[in-house]
Amino acid sequence: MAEFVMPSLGADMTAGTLGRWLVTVGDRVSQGDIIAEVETDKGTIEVEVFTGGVIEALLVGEGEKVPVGTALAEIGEAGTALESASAPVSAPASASASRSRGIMTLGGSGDLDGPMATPAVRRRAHELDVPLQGLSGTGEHGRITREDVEQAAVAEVQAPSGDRVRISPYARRLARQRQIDFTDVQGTGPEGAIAARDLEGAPAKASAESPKKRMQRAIAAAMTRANDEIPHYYVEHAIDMGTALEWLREKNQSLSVNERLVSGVLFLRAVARALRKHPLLNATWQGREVIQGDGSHVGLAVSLRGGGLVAPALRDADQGSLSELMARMTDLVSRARAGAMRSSEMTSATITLTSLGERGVESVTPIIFPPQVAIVGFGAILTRPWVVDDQIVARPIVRVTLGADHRVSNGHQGARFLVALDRFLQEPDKL
Amino acid sequence: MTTYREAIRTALRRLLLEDSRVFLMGEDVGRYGGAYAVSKGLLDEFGEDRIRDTPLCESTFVGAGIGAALGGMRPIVEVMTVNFSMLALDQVVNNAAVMRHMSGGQFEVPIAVRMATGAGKQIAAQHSHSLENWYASIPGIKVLAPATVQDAHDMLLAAVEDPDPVFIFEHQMLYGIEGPFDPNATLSSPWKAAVRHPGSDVSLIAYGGSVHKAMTAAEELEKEGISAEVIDLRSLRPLDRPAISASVSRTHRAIVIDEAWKTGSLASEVSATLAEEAFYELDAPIARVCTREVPIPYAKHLEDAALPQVPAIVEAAKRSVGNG
Repeated sequence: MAEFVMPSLGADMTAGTLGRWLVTVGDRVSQGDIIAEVETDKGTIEVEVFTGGVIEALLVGEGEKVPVGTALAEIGEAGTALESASAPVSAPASASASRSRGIMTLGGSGDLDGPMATPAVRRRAHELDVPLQGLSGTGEHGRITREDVEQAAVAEVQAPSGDRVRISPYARRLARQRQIDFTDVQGTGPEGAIAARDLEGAPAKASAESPKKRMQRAIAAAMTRANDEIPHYYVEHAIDMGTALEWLREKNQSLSVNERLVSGVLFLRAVARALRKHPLLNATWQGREVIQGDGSHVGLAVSLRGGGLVAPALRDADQGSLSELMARMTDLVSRARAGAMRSSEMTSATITLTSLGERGVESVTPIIFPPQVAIVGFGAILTRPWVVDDQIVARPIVRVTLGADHRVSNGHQGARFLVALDRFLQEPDKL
Repeated sequence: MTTYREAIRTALRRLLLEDSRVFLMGEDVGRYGGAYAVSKGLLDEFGEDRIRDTPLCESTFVGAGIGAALGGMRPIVEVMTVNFSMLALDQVVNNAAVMRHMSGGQFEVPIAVRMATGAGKQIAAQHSHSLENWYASIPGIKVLAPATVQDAHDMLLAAVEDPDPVFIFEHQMLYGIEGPFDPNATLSSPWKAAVRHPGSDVSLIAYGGSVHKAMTAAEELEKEGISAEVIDLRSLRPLDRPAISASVSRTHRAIVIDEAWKTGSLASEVSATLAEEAFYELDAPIARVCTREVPIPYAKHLEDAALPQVPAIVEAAKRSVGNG
């Protein structure tokens, strides 16, 4: 028996809303299957399962918001779970299992509409505003009893909420009426509590916001944190792309339109390769210590139509052929634009690559996406007068800027990284 | 301008003149003219039948008053201080307060009991306590605390007119105060709280002697740009809860001033009422400014230190308003 829990889909995520189940009780799943969609500030994320087996119970209903780490589903070993899932209601083994484990294991056929509870209990749950989904039944055959509901109601009231904001009741009421988000408001009342006057100019509440605004706020929070916390240093380097572009041109002649490579995939691969040699840039800063990245997982900054920005990870971007990487990159970007990213893609990046080349600007000075410790920005490949062998010639030049966390690395190391990156781009056939 | 004690005497005279069922009794109310000189001259005017000196036994003369009320009279009983009234509590709790209930409405007890309360005159612990909250917790009686000269007069008239036992608590520091007074003014309901000083930033809720300290505090706060509303509770039972909530709904902050000990005080009752009925109006924690939990000291500086004073009220109000 394994639990499938609400994943952390970002360093700042504390809770997520289960948007949709893509499986039902009794479904067989294997590692990597996408079994649910989770709504976060960053959008709707598809979540993979890391354990194979059979879904024995769905513990959280669609639309429910739960803290990270909350068990969402129970996954049993294939054989046994299937039996119990198809067992008749009166089977003693099944009944005792459900009594101790929770709900929704009994019907098996999936014809049960939610957890088992009598109408009276449902009514009590409604009165007390207790969702039956996810409630553990202690009654016969795992039925939810009136006591279960009442205890859950008490537990909910008593549950400590760590992130409770100090705010006067009056200000809290005003904030609710005016749909104001007071989480970032500075309190000037007694003992720093937020008073009514502090709500002037506070932003509108997230729940009343469009997903676009919500994402904007998430980006704002991450970037503010980056700017406040991370001592950035920058190293810039101009790279002659003549050889690389020539190689690309030749390579693409033999490929169909769909398969053709773009310069961006060379940047991606070169960064991933250079990263292997410079692990200090391939890491996350977790408050006090550096956690080394376990592979070259490069986040790709993707601007969304309508203004949002996401940076899903291309895992192990140093592995596989360039064509494979190209395909993966195209897929990732299109899924990111469609809002269909996977959970692992949202958290696993250990460096970010941003390219404003297609916008035509010469260079970009990017801000690190915490908790990462480095970001690489590419400008446009522009034809520039360049000195080669004492001759001024026109060459395609790209300006690459490394922004890195000075708590983790220094300019010397950053410079060596860029030089390594340059060297990789001079030998595109080896990428 | 008239003094508080003259206003009470005016009411007493009017009642004695207009209603032959009315009489006054208590310790030293006749020949001595009352411990606080309220009834001076009344013995000469109305005679020993209607201005009656009693033995030093509160249980006896309060009980006799209850009996007289049951018998159809309109007794006004003066108890020298609330401290001494403890001796009569049995008569109050077990007779006056329950008679209407236990007789199924057949009997009523239209007694008015006046007594001095409060500290500030250096007359030490046995004459200085504020125990009106004890009375205010008893169903079956009514409790008034006149803070102004006009109320001292009007509330006595209302108390005698009322068919139930009414207890009037006169703060001993108020007998000498002067204030506007019109003996023929239309009587306002004694059961309603009054706004003595309108304001918008914080409510100073007080009664009796503390109202005057709250008024002084409001003036000082005004100089610092804080607009304080002073609420005079007037009636301690029934408590005008809607008026309290209404004031805090305007100001969103509350300081409750009470010369009783904080624990179990009327200030506690007002605070709990606000928490229950105006919670979502509160923009700052409620604060209580009450007497230190000690017997009232005799020494002047210690007595002053034990009682709620204007600087403490001002301080509490400023803390409540915060640094905005």
